[in-house]
Amino acid sequence: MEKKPYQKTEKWWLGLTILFFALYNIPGFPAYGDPITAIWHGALTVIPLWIVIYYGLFRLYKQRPLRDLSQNASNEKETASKKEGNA
Amino acid sequence: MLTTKTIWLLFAAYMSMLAIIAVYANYKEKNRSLQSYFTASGSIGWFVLIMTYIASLMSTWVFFAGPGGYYRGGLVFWISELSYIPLFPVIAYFVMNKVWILNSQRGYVTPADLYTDRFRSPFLRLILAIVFLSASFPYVASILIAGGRAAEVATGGAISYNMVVLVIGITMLTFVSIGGMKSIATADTIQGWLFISMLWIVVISGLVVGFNGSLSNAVSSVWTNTNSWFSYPGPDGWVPYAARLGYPLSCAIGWTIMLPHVFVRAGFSGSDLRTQQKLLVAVPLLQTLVWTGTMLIGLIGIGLLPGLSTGQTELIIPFLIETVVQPYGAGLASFLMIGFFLGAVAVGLSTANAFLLVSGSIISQDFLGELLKVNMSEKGKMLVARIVIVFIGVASMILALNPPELIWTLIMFAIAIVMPLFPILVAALYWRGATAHGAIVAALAGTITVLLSYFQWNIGWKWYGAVGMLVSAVLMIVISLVTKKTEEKVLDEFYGALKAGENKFYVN
Repeated sequence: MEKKPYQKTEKWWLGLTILFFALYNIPGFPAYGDPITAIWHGALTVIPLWIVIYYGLFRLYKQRPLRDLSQNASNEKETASKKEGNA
Repeated sequence: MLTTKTIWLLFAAYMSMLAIIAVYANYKEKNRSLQSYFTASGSIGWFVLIMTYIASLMSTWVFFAGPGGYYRGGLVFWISELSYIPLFPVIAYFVMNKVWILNSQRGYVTPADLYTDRFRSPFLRLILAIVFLSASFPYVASILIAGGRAAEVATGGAISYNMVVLVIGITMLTFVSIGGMKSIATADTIQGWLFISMLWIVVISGLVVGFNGSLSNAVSSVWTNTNSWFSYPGPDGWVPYAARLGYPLSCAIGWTIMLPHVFVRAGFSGSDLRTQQKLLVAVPLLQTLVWTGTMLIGLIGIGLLPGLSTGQTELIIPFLIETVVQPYGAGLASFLMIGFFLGAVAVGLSTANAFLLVSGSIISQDFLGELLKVNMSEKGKMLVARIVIVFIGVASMILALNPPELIWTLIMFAIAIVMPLFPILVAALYWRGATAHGAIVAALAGTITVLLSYFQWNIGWKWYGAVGMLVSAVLMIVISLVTKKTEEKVLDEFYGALKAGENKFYVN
């Protein structure tokens, strides 16, 4: 069965999230006592992590829309009242 | 600084507000069900849901452990916070949205209801109920301790710590047992904004008084005098590589998902999936707002008052007010001390209330209703739930009257102990092959590993519950592969409900 677009997005979204979280956690880096590298390392891993997560989240919201249940409920009510009218 | 009379007056005003909310909620929902009392039955709108989630999540960290943590851990501790904060939408999307859909189809009351629905094991329910409850006592106690300390410090020791603990405890018990989930959520919305405002008032005042209102002055001063604040492992050696991984994992999974009071909010209480979507977007932003304020207090603190002992760092806000702001202006100092006290009480009570309520549901639903099969009317169950809440609150008060040195330790242990339950939840939602035996062994072994991490191996301070979670994940898979599969009929019912819910709520 062909994968739906949101399922593909879910995969790369999860993959990139794990990648940047892993990059942030590279063992032994940055060296203890090195503030400049610590700040650069934080910026280059954590900022992309945020961008990937929010971009992916909004893309998923777009690709997998929710049903308008309030509309369904009012349609059901309308149908019910029409039926009552017919009777 | 503040008189005892001022503290009691503030307290009385604050508690009156809570009492009005509780009585109103009780009056409005006279005939509510047990499920509605405990979870609001999926009726909370997005704005209140976000605020009750944030307020119940935050707790006393914000005014005590948090600034103390930043003082000891430095900027890299903040970066490690920023590494897990955005994970919430990812984990909640894949896990808690499914929990919400299942709840909408199956009507759960406690977190263990979902696990039992999938694995059909009363023994697993018992283990889960014990683990979730064991997270509640230290958490509620930590809040009472923080409230007592806040009042003690704000009055320069003039007020009795024990008396404040008792009064806060009794107030919290009365509020929760009368009100229920809806009143707690409403109060949380007010308390949430109150504590965030107070936090940032303290930050801005600290910058104005200590560094002429300039953040760059504060950064330059700390860079020159305590350069280790900006690098690993932080000025107190508190953020080694292990803690950089263990702490964010614990927070992302244990703290923001698995603690029972937030589990119920992120999985059961939202009114619809649109509400869930908004929760996922807003929570990281609000968390960042709070932790950035807390980090700045740590920065200001170490810039102005370096060399404090570990225990003292948790009291950095009142120390700053007394030693830095007081000479600048007594009026401002008193105002900030009121803000500190009210903010700490607000953020603490919102969490304690949430914990008490979910603990009541665990005992009345899991223990009495499902395990002991005590047959009671809805009214009888409500009465029992309220009695249970009082019992848990009193036990937490007793623990708070003899407090450990660090509130941090209590909170982190509570978070760590629930982490091994996460792999079981993921397996329950995604893997038909997961078995009850696998879940039981994973829960038991994971919990024991967390206890060993803390009390035997002494690695709890840097790995928290991460090792226990890993053990749980491995055993969940291995044991499930070699034990008897769950009946197809049960699986079809569970996954059928999930599929039906997804078809109902999603277009594709």
